[in-house]
Amino acid sequence: MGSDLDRLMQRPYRYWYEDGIAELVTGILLSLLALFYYLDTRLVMSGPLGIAGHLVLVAFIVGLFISSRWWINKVKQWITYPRTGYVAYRRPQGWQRWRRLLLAMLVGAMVGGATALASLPVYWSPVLVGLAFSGTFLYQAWRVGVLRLYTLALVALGAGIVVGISGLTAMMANAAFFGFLGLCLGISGGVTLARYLHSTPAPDPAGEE
Amino acid sequence: MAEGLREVTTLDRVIHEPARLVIVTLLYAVESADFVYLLRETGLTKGNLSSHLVKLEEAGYVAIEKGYRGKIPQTTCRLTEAGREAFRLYREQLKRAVARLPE
Repeated sequence: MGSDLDRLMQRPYRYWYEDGIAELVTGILLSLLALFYYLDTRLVMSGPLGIAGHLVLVAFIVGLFISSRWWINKVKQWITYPRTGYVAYRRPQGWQRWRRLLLAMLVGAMVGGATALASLPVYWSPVLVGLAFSGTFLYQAWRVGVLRLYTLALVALGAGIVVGISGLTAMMANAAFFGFLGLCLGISGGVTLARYLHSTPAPDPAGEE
Repeated sequence: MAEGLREVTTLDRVIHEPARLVIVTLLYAVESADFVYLLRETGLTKGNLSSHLVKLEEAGYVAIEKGYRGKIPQTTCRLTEAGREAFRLYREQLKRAVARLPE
């Protein structure tokens, strides 16, 4: 009985992933990040401009992580909530409030630091980030029981390793990694969204009545 | 009467009803949820869900707010602090009761 209640309490968290919108929006944001890296390879920046560019990159990454939930909620308000209902999730308590910000800063520092410091082997950057993403997907998969997140964890880790050993330059490696991961998330989210729209009725114009 | 059975008789009857247990469990995990979400997750009819929500509201476990999302009416439900405490207590009692039930 206790484990049945635990499984029942998992369902509202699983609902966040039911429509695929979280992956779709995250995929788009990562693709934008990949574009940022790609453009960086086209615009040669050095000296103070180069340092400023990397600081902007770190701020962009942190901003992406922080704002992603807002973007996802916006899309859900349009598509999901009118169809299958609205859920407001509890705000993290205590130290967990800072968890997302710390994770965003950690990833931003890892990526920004690995590409800005010439002394570090630049091919470690996508490996480290792939590991961070993989860990995040694995944790979420375990927490909410969404099986495709396990697949995405493997994809993130594999992509990080492949890009890391590919011999690409730092910026191109990051562009390739984020572009590939963004594409995979976009496909996963898109397929899930299509299934969700097919299996749920269109919203009733009269609402609940 | 066996210890476990005695424990079962003291369970909160407002929460212990199957449909209300599902409603309270879902609401415990979140800040709030609307009627449409609860309807889908519980599989109850609109009338049935409404009557269970009213019972939970009368017991002080659930707060119900009626508003609008744009022009569409929306009913939002959330567990009160009393409801959260009652559910926590219910879970503890249930675990104890199940552990003490004879094989």
